[in-house]
Amino acid sequence: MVATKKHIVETQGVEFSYGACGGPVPGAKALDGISLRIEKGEFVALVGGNGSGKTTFARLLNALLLPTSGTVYIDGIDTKDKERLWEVRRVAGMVFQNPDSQIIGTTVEEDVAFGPENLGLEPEETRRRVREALRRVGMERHADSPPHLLSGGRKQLVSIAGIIAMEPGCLILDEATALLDPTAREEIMELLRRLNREEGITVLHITHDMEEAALADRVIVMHAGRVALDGKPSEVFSRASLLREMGLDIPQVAELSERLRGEGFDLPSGLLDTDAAVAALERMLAGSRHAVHTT
Amino acid sequence: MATVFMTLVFLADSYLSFLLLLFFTFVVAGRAGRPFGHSLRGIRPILFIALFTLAVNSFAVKGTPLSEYGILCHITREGIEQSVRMVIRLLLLLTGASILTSTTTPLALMDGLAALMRPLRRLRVPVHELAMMMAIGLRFIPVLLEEGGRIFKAQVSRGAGFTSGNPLQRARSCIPVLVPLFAGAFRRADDLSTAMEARCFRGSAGRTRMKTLEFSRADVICVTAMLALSAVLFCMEFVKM
Repeated sequence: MVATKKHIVETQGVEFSYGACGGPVPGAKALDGISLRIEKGEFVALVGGNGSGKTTFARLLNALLLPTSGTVYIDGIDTKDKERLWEVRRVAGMVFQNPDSQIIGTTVEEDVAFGPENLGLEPEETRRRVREALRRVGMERHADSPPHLLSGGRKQLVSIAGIIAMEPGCLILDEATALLDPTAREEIMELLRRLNREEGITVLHITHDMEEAALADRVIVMHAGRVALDGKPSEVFSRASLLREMGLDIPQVAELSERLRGEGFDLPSGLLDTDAAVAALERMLAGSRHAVHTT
Repeated sequence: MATVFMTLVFLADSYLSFLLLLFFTFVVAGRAGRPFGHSLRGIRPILFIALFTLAVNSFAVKGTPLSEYGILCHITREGIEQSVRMVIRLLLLLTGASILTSTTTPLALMDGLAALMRPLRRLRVPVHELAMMMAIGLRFIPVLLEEGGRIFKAQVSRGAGFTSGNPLQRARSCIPVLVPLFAGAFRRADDLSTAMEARCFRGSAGRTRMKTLEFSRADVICVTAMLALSAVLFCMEFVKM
């Protein structure tokens, strides 16, 4: 099978084990046969419990790690190809969990410029990209601020700007919202949605937060180094009992509607959106009132 | 430039030359868009040191006593003179340093240093990498300070005492702060290097800078002014002898 350019990420039977002394469980397979395809422009959430292999998978996409067996293609490039390593890393831009250990510059502007400078761009082009990236994340006003004085959410916006400035095809966020407060999370999610919708950047958002995952177009659930579920959020979250078995939560709305369905109420499956759930509940109540009248 | 200025500050001895230096600092501060008063504000913390220097020097330097009687007989004219000079020197040094750090980001400073050290590249000194290391070091000072403060509070909340006992015990009680701080710093360094790699960092090869340092007219003016100042001071200090 030849990787096509249509898929920004394609993995074929990827396995990975940390050496005898590395990783959380030495010698164990962190990834056990992962074959996935992510199309350009998709917004994918990757969820899974601790030790399910999410972070390892993310690092394989950025060629920070290379698969023990199997192949990872980024925009059609094999990540094992040393010649094109930097292209892989530019296309698959990665944002990490802790903003404090990924911001390098002493001012916001200098930090955003770090990536483009590494790509060897002309100063003029770098400046344009920095300005543009800061505008897109709404941080133009803070261009000259020292990063350590910014709030956690803002720092993470700077980190994202630093990646956007490299004009990646795919944005990989490795639990980038885990250390943030709810407002900041919302802000980041909104930004990701906007980047995805307006600029066609593929987003792979790794998260613990199921409410965030519910906002994606597609949810991939990893468990014990394998893909356990893969589909639309409404499909994935309708498998409540399976998710619970894997030690995962499901979004509140999904949980409520699943329980009501379990009690025999007539609700559609796969409800995720609060408004849609309210409408469905109203319809159901109106229906039952009608039923009472006729008897 | 700052180094030349510091040498001059130490060289100057007469009040006239101090006056000239003060005037120079004043003008530079004005041009840099940092009013002199603003720079002075940064000095407040070391005012104590300045006063202490003043006091010690007044007593310690031998010479003609101010008066024959009482405590005043320990204070000498020469002592006071020398200490006043010392304090002025300290103030000038600090204003100079504060002008430098408030107008130039550490990264720009490091770029400048790297440019100056470029000849060392012939000797296979990794100049660019050294500059990068220094810049990152500067960037992480506030982060490590914050982390140190957090660990300190965490230890205090578990009953660690940092303010009691003899100096040895107090020094020993710092270990539970330093060990996690260092461990954290190493972990952070590891994460940072991963993040840098992920952002395509591969050393100086093929790397460009957004802000290239250029030798502009302002630099010419600065160098000329500095040379002129040095020449004038040199004459004032040595020709008179």
